Amino acid sequence: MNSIKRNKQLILDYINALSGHEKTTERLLKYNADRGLIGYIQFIDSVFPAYEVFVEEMMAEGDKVIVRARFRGRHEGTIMGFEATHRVIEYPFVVRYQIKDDKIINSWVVADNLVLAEAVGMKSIRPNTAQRANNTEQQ
Amino acid sequence: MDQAKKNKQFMMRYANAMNNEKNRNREFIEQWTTDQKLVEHILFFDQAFPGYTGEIEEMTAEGNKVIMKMRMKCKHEGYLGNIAPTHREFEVSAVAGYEIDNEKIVRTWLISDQLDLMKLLGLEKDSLTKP
Repeated sequence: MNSIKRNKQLILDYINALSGHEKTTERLLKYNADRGLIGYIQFIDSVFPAYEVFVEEMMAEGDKVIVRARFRGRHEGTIMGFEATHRVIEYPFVVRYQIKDDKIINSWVVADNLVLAEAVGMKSIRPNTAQRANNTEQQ
Repeated sequence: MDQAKKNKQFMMRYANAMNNEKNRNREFIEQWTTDQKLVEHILFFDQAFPGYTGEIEEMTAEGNKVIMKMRMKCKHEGYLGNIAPTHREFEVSAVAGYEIDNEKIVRTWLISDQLDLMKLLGLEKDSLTKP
């Protein structure tokens, strides 16, 4: 198996090992050496216990794997100042992993936290695009 | 040159063209894409943030797909929906995926942190500009 296929398989195994399970340090360290990412995952897992991740797209090049996915978890802890609503929440995100010697060594995540914030109870501050035309005409 | 490398070069040319074009109208954008969702997205944001640019931070390609992480540099000089111009300058991260066919973008998706954008514009729920 070439390194790109091997890296993709590693990330699939990693996501399958975590999705729907408690994200214990032992489980994470088997695949992940990025301490920043481990801390972030364990915080999110404390708010949304045993949250799930559904992969929608995966690409790889060189030592990098990039995943577009959907998060799903039940809101059971405090996040952004909002206490547990017990609602099931879903939002999209993208994560890029850098892999060396079959371990994740570096990563970044981009998520639409406005979707998350609104889902846990924040009043919407989303722009009202339906009023764009009227406003533009007023300029 | 393999297809992924060709597509990366195409996306570099696309990004440079978009960043340097003074008049990003529908005709100009449609030279690069058949995806009307992308056309509308660019026109909408260019109206709110005239002349915004995207600096490519990372690019990954495989087959007919390219994913780019970008740093968007914006100045809020037009209405963003019902939100009046704040004249603030800021930078936000965005990740976009592109499917390319015969040197045209045919499908796209975009994920950015819109909460970060609203915070950078100084918009709290009670200070939204009313239409």
